[in-house]
Amino acid sequence: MDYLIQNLATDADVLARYGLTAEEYRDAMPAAIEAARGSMSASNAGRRQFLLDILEALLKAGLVESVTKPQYGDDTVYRLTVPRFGSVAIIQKGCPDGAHSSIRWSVPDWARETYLWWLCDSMKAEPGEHIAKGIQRMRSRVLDPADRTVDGVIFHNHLCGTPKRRCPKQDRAVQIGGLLVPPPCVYIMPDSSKPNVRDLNWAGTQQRFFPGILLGLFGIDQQALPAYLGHVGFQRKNGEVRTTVSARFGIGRSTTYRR
Amino acid sequence: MIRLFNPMLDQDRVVLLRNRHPTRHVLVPAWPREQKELPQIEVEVAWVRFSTLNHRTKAEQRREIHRAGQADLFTADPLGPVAQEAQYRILTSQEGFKELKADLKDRGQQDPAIITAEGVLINGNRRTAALRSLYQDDDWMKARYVQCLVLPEDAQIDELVDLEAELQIARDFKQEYSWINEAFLIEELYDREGKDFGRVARRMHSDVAKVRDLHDKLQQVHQLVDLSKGARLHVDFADNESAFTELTGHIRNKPAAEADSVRAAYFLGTLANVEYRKLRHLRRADAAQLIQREIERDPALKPVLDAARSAEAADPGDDLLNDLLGEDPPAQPLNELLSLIAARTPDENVNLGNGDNVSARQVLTSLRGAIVAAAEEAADEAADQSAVKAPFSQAEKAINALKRIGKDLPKARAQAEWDEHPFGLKIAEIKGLLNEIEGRQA
Repeated sequence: MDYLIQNLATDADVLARYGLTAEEYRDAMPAAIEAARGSMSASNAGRRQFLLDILEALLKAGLVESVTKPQYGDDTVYRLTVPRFGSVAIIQKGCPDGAHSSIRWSVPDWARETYLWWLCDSMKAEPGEHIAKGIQRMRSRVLDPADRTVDGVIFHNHLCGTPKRRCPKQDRAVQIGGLLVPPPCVYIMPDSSKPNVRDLNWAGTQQRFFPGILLGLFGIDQQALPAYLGHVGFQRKNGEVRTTVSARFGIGRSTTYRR
Repeated sequence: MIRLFNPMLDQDRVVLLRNRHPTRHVLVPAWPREQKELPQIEVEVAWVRFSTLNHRTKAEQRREIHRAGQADLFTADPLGPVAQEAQYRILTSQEGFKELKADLKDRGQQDPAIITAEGVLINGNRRTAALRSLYQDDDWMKARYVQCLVLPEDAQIDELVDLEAELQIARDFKQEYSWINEAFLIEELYDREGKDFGRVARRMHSDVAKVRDLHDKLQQVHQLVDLSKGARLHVDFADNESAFTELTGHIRNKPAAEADSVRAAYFLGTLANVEYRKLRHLRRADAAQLIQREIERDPALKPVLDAARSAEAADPGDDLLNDLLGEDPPAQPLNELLSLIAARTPDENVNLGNGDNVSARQVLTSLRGAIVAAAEEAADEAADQSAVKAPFSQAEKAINALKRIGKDLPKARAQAEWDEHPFGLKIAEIKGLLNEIEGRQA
């Protein structure tokens, strides 16, 4: 990339097509790079702001008592205090199929429940495919009974519900931070602390507390909640491990993926 | 007796044809009479009438009847403008019509059509429709006339059906025939031929098994269409032949309970657009239970199942499955859901009883996921069972092979070129493998 940027200054024909001389190019290049860097940084900040806006909304609605943002190594971890429950950790990540996003995280000791929140704006694939890849990557960590694992994963960012990424839950969207935001896709992960168990949340029976709080922000009550909660399960069988990922978007709307 | 056209021939049309000068006479071996040569004439493509008894369009005609809400659309006045326009619309919308037009434009009309003495097409309906479309829509002047062979004025309806069967089934036109339409023709011939598949097979120049198979498949489609109470039509299942082939083949000699279970799984799977290769794994007595289990453990789908059960309980007399599956049908778990789903088009809503509605299309998409998941579970289970049985079946083969060695050995040893040493090495290898299987050290 450096080579390309440097050598463009010698390619008068290409520069002429953009109405530039080599001199103008050399003069303008540093400022242009700064501007590009600034806009990319701003878009990253926008992504983070989306999550912060949702956490703020939870706070305003009285669904959580406090939101703090301590630093834990490379992870950005939000600490939420949930009334009558305790602390919940939200680990902010990018796209699920990145190594950093799926494998490199640590569950804080203080957290009663911990969730990976994938802020993924990659349009390379449908969200379901991103999620399936992410789950496959983090499988070894989840299946290790000695490893403290996350209680759920969440796929949700500022593109959800826009024409770029239409959402089947759009009828439940609410106004947050100037956007009409649909409910997040939440998947409950298995409790894998017991070694050698055959079915790890295979049938989706694992219960968690925080998803009800989070989806409550979108007016989804306890009765309707199961129809909006996905689950991830594993099955150990004949030396192999099978995976199931169920996504739910409301009554009568679900998809199941197994491999 | 089905009336093809007015038995009192339209004399004006008959006279017109009679006065056309034949360009030649053509031998038509399929014409059942002794005199097989028919005169060939050319007439204007818009003048000839399409046959509304054309079996190639039976399924599509049912759709037109359904759309128009007029049961006698094609029979009240089959040669009138309404029926003719509907028939033309069907012919022009069938698969391959564009290609047929391109071929006619490229090569011209290769085979003459066959018409009755008053100009009703018995054979060549599609070709004529394509020529008419070329002439009327594309202004291709060469398509103004269609070459036709004219049948005698005293031709009878049975002779015409036989001629159609000969020409359109036995010849290479077959690929243009959808399986549902071919099955409709078989069904009609079956009723006409005293319910004798042998006679139908001879008429169709086919074999009894194939004819019976198509007939049986159509009976299954009839059931699903009846169950849908008008929401689905035969033509909707033209792309599902493989699923109906496998369903029919499996349930033919199965106990009623298993047949009902597999049928319910296949019907629901077909409605939900599940690939037949997936449905194949559900050819087992508990197929319906497997699917139900998947649905029940899905909190998003369970309310739909509950709504189906409530609707059934509220209206027990309205269960078509009871009529279809016999006097005292075993309670299949999917029957209520199937009744609910089949009776709705994908654009309709499913009422969940508590006032909530959900789109039938979304329910079908979700059901597809649940059925595929159940099928994959069944496939997995079958693979496990097969893995358990594999060593036994291989051991059985090995025992038989060893027995054959013992039988062949005396004859081999009697040969001058027999060498005991390499055979001994083979025996040692077998013993070594046995030790390995039993977990012993060599």
